[in-house]
Amino acid sequence: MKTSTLRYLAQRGFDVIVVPQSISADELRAIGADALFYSNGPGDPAASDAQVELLQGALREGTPFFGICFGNQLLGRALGFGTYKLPFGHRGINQPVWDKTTGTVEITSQNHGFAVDAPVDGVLDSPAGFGRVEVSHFSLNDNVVEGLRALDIPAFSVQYHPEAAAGPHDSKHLFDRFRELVISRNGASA
Amino acid sequence: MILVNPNPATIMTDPDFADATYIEPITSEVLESIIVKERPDAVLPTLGGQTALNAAIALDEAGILAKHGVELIGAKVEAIQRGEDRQMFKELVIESGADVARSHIAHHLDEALAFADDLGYPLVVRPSFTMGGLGSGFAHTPEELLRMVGDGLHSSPTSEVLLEESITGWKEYELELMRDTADNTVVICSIENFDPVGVHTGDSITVAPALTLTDREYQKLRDIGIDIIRRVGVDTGGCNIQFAIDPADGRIIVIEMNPRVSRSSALASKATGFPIAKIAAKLAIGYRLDEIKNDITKVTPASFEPTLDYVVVKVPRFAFEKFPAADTTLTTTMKSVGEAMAIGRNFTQALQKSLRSLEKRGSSFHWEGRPGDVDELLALSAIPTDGRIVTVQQALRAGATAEQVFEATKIDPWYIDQIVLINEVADTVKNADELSFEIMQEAKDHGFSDAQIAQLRGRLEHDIRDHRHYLGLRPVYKTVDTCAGEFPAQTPYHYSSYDFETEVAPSDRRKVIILGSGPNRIGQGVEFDYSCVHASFALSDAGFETIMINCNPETVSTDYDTSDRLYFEPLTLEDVLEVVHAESASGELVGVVVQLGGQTALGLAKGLEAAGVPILGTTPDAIDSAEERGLFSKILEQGGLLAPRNGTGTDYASAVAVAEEIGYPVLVRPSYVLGGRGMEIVYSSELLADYFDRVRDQAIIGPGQPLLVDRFLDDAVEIDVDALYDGTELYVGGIMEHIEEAGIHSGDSSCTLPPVSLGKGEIDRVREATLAIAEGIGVRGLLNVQFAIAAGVLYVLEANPRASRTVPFVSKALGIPLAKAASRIMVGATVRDLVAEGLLPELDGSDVPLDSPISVKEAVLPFKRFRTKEGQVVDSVLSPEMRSTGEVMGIDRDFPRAFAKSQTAAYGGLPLGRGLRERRRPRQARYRPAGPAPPATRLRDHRDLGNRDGADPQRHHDQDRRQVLRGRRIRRRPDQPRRGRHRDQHSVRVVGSCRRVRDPCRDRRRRQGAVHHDGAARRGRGVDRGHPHRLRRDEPTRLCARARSEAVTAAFGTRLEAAFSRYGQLCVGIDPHPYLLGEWGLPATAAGARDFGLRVVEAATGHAPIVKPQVAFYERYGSAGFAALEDVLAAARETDLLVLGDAKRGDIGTTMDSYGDAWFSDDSPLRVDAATAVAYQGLGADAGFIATARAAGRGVFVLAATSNREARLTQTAILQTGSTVAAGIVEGVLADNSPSDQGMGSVGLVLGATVDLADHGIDVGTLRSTPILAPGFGAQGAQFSDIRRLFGAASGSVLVSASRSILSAGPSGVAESIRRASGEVTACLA
Repeated sequence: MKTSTLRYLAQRGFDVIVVPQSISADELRAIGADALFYSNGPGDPAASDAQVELLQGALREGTPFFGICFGNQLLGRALGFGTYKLPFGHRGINQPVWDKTTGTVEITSQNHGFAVDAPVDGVLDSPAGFGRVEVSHFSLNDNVVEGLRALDIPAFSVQYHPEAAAGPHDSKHLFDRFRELVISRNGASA
Repeated sequence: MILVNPNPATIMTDPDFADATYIEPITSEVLESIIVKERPDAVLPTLGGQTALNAAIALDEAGILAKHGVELIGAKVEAIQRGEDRQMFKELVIESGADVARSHIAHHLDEALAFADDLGYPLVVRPSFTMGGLGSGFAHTPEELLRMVGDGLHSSPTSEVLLEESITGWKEYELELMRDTADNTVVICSIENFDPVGVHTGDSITVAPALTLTDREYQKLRDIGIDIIRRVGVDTGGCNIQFAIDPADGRIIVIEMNPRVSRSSALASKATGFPIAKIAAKLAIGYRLDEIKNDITKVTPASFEPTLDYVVVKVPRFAFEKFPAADTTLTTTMKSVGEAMAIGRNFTQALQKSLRSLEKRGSSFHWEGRPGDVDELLALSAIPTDGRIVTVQQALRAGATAEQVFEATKIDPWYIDQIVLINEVADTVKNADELSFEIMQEAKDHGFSDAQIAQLRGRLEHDIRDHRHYLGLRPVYKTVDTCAGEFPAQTPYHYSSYDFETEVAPSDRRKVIILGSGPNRIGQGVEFDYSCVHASFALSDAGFETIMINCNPETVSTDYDTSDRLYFEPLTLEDVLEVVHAESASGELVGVVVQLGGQTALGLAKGLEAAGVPILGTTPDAIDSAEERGLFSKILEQGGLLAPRNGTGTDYASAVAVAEEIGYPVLVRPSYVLGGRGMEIVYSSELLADYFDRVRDQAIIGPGQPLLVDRFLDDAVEIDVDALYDGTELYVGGIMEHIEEAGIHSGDSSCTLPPVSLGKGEIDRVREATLAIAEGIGVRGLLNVQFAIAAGVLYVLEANPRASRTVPFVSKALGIPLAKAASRIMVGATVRDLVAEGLLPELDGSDVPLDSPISVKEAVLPFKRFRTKEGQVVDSVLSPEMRSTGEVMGIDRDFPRAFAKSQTAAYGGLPLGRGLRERRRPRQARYRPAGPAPPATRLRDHRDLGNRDGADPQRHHDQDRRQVLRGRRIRRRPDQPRRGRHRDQHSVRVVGSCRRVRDPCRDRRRRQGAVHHDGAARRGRGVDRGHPHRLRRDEPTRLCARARSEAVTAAFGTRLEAAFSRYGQLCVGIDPHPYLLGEWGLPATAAGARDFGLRVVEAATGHAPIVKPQVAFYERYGSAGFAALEDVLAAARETDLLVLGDAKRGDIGTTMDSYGDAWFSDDSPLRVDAATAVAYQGLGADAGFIATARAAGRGVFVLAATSNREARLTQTAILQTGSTVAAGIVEGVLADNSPSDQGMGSVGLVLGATVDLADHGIDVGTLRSTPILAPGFGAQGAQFSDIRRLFGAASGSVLVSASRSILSAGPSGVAESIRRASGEVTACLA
């Protein structure tokens, strides 16, 4: 995972504990973390069942979640959506993404060959029973899902790299959004 | 969409581009009148550079935008100010957490000295609100500081100068950003300056994208840039931000921002394929970036940041050879006149291509001879000058280390290393046993031309080319697609590279290649690009696939959507031949157009022909016959034409022999030059020797390059003709008459079209001569011929079988698309075909109707930018060598107005006051100091001046010009050439130079204008305020204006109605009452009354429909008074004001008839458009008077009722018919008008505004369409707001007469007073 992700989390007051992808649900629970973050991969999301189950467990317990890139694909699967391999992966630091929350364009750094398979319009029902979900970001070049937001549980993720390096800093504010989500969920102790 | 721009040379002022196009000066007055006429919803000022932004600020400050409810879009005035006001901007940068150079604003010299102590020397001086960094630079000593601050305070419209710590030597960067209404912000392009801070970015070699920044550093610039564009509040559109980075510690400083589309935006657009200006315009009207498609991919949105898989290098083109005295050191004032851009797969390739694109001797790297002394070369490269990069290359070649070069120049070590690399490759090429494929490939990868390789190997260029082709090594063409190949590009915008696969799509169409004109330089600017673009459009319409080759990013020809395919390539034989080869791979290449791209393209014709490439139009041999003296003489001989006596010389001795034989003064010029390079008037053998001394270094004269020596025609009128010839038929585009006499380069002289002083006889002679030359040369396409008429004899000065720089001017002035037609003729169409299909108007440019508007072209000269090392403004004497960098056009119904407009557009207005020196003056008298000139004398009628068969030209030149100059009381242009450019005339030139920089009085006025918001009125005085001419897409461009002839055709009523609709209903009284003369500071004499009248006429022009001189106030001075009145009337005739003579004549029989002859007959010096009369002897007594008026298309106002108490008795007396006298007169007038007049009648009434009309038995309801002169407004009691109440339904035909209330504003306020009153009247009648 990228150092700048850790740096941005730490800058916002998180005590970050990095654990291997093989961690079990019990071990995770034992840490007693306030929130869970899935990093950028790499990997084939369709082949990562254990991490999807781990995430589903945490979501059921109401743990706030933020995922980047691979983390976005795993949240997609955890919520019950499929993933697929793009004909042309998104690479580069000039990818325009539409942020439905703010109604603006963010120029993002991207490096992904897989994507979540979900309709970009409207509010969806999580096939895995996590309530309402929406595609929060999508690519202006080809309408591929670039972000997910659960409306009934505290979880969101983006397919691109708000931590950039290399790339623009347009989306750095997502780390603030994560902080606020955790605080609103767990109180100011975070 | 309404476009305002006085530049005729640009494509944008073609009537096809906007719904309405105004070729008008960009001043508040003109803009307001256009706003009034067109009622636009919004004004977009962010695309027209600083000129447009300043105009927008002025409009806003004068309240004009608010008054007409027009919105400013693209940027708010506050945002413009935040961006441009340096102090505000600095505060804002600091707020955003970024850093700025330490600085202070100085308002006077003492303050500046104190601040300098704080900041330390050297320091930067920048005047606020000037364009192109004008007046800014470095001060190293207090003396320099004082000089620069003094000048800066002078040229800054706000009298502010910023002093700043020096950041010279830092790395310099620019970001081009765009923002939309939803706050989406993207960076379109990063640009890195090769030359470190200290050289204006326009004069720097620049590179895109930035190559020596890490992602972290770049992202930091991006973050700062985005933050600043938000804080400044650039609502929508483009913006450019400049940064400096300290190479020692990475400290970032924000230098400045331009809240508008700038020169850098144009470069960024060409560099990335992202059309910044086009997108900015869409954003301004409310689109968001994500709603606009990327023009190149057509599928992805414009809300993205272009990615470059190539490197772009821009190099400036200078013209110091034209200004031998100018300091060539590059500073923060821009001195370049053009630029070339090149694209390559790597930096070395792009750099070498760009350097050869400059088409200038010595601009490319070379390895000839010994490089010279290392220390000397290093010392030379420490000073930024034109061509420093070659000095650096030579220093490295001589053994300087990269570190030494960095120390001397502060150019980033990475770039220096790239030049080292180029030198290494050169060594490899030079020392290789044979030129293998690998070595050639390597050389080509690093941008070496065949010519450079030839030089290294001691071979000929074409041998190397043959060898390369034998090796099978040719370039492929890559695409500029904004996205580095991520999405397919729909636009074929190509550049060459010695890479692997070509991206040129095959096509089976018939193709034409058009060669552009390369970088702008003096003598070859966008005028040629205009012709190339028109050819592309016309050939595309005719079904050809058009292929453009050019390397100038400032042009329309290099827009990716102008031609079917664009090759952004140097215009050298090698590069053009390779494009020809690539395009020959598919379809049919019909040929190459070389006659539109100036000397650049023409110069390639022979080489292309030799390589078997078909040349369209006039053949290269024919082109030669016009250039080659002997051949051309034969052509003239066959046509029975005269050239000034002439000869040629290849050295001093032979030139002197020729000159002595034909007699001094002589005009000398090297053959094969454009823009008059090295062209001078020489008056003696000594001066000829001096000339040879000066041009020796330029190697422009020698065997094979003879010097042409012509007898210089003194006191001649020069004529320029642009024409088309298809092999059988000649079509004259336009005949232009130079306003300066012969001897000024045609590019620098102003000219008028149609000619104002040539009779039909001369025009026919010019036409016949042009035809003879076209036949003789064998022209197919365009031909430009310069003639001179001296003492009634027509001489041929030169002929050029190519597009000239006047083609766009002619096209715009007469609506004749010359370049389009020429390109069609080149591919086989005939003049007859083109007339038949409607491309060409039936009447050609030698047959312009008398009532056509007059267009004047004026050159824009760059003298202000150039200073000698001592800080003096360079010599501003015009000569046969061209110096202008641009041109403007003024168009109006008559010559004085058109001329005034051209001057306003070029120089910001005509100087006022008594500074007249006549432009034409016998040579022996020219050296006299300019004494006070006589005040404006009588203005003469056009009718007397020419455009008549057989008019004597000589007399008419003089009269016409004098008329212009006297009428406007001006002395505007630099002096004519005089004996050489030598020290004996030093004092004269100093005067010229000072005037040129700016007249301080005028400047003060201008500054007040900016500060006190009343500038518009003040600046408006004395400058033409005629009607903006509008070119409409749906109307013929040949505008119909009021006939210049004095014979009135339409009835007075009709003319009055038209004048009302244009200027409202205010009638301005001219009452030079002695007490008013006193108030105006004028003597109570005939002369005072005349000055008074002239000023009121001047002030009322364009704001009121009619003036009313009160005859009694002139008559009181006897015959002198009448002479004064005649002058005032003559002046008014020159405007489009109607004149109502107020004499209230009344009598009977032949006496009254004689009054009619006096006021109405066409040959009376007192003739007016209408006159007042009394009819208390019965209207029948006035019958003759009225009949004379009617017959002459003039009008009569019959007194019916005034408010004077003593008159009431008569007016209300009851006639036998039972009505009052007043009502009886009204009835008579109504009866007189009704049968013969349609619309407004020509016989009107005088009805006082304070008269109780009902009491007089007058029913205003019956007066509709009867002109009513209503005195009594203002000082006499009635208010404008009473008009409707008083006149009801007849209000529309009332001449609201006011005099004292307006005239008491005094000479300085009268214009404003009229404007205000006119506005109020219009408002009250609305």
